[in-house]
Amino acid sequence: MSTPPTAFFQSLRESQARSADEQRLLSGRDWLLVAALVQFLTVLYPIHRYILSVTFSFHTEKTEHLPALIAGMLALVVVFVLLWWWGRYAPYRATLAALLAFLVFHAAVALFTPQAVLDSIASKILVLAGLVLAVRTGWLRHRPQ
Amino acid sequence: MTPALQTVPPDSTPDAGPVHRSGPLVTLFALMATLTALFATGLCLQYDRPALIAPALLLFGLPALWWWWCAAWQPGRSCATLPRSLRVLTGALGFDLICTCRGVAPTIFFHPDKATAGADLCLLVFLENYTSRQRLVEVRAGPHPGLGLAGVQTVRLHLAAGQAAVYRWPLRPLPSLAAGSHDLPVVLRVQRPQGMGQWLPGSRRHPYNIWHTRFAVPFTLEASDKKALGHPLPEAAYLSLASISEKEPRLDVLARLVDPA
Repeated sequence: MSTPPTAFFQSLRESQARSADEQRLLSGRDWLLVAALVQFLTVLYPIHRYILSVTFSFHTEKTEHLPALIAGMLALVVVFVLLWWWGRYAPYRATLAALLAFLVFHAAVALFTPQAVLDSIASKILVLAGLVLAVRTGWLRHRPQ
Repeated sequence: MTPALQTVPPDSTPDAGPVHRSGPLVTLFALMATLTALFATGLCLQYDRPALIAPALLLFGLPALWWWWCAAWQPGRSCATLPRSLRVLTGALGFDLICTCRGVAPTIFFHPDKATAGADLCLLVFLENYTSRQRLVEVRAGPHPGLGLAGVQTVRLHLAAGQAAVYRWPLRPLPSLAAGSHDLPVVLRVQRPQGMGQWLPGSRRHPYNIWHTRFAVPFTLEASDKKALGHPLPEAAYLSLASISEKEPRLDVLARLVDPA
């Protein structure tokens, strides 16, 4: 087997490395989709609590705030998915808008239903970390070279 | 649908391994579904709702049975010894892969990635199947009017079990394309016409294993006074680089592929 010279492989690797770097920047938008998925998984537990309280008439905890909280969390999922779609055209603005939407939503939760602030805190941290990574990669793509 | 291109030379490695998904994740799903079915049944009994027991068992018990079958029964039946993956892309070629798509390692780039207007560019699609069953890879490039791709153009490529291959797609920038950095959007989707298979020993399992992935393949167009070349574009080619039925990869085809002259 005659193998091409090492210089040829080197130039091939350089071209491939440039493409891989570009792909990493592009993947900032994917963090938005991951954040939407984690947010969706987070809303399943309040839905589960609400269904239990309605179906089996559990009265051991207050659930009056749950419908509004569930609606807000589902709306946030929809917003993330829409911003993920918009991120094809403006990744930095889309990811920044998603981070702002997340912070505004949880500020409103803290204001109106303070008892729900610490619910699912681990998944909230995960979503926040995903959004920060999305903004970071969006910024790397957005900033002037 | 256009038929899938076969490599030159064709790879006749037969499929092997399980048809359906198995592994630790499926075992976890099976366990969760079983516990949920038991929990739902217990809840219905405790709160005297016997009518809900059957729907709960159907909803959670049937998926649990299916996942247990996939996780435990299938791998036990396919105990054939599989050959080792040759790992051409990450090994001999030393590429930096950022994901796998349904067990296929992809990387797409221009080589060379700098050209002048009118000179030919060569888009290279490197693929390696890390699994024991064949895959169909759909490559959708464009739109990019500056490269003569007014719409999306699709190519379907066949990959035998464990095979590594490269597809050369010649493109020519139009004289109207401005000098500077550009990206060609490429979407890559992988289908499993004969089922899942299993990861070959020695293959590189990437944690980011997805159904389809998007690439923005960069290239730089340098300013030039030269006019567009008149010769026709070279033919596209799909060549096999390695097969698990053979001992060594055929890397000598690479030089001819990039520079046919």
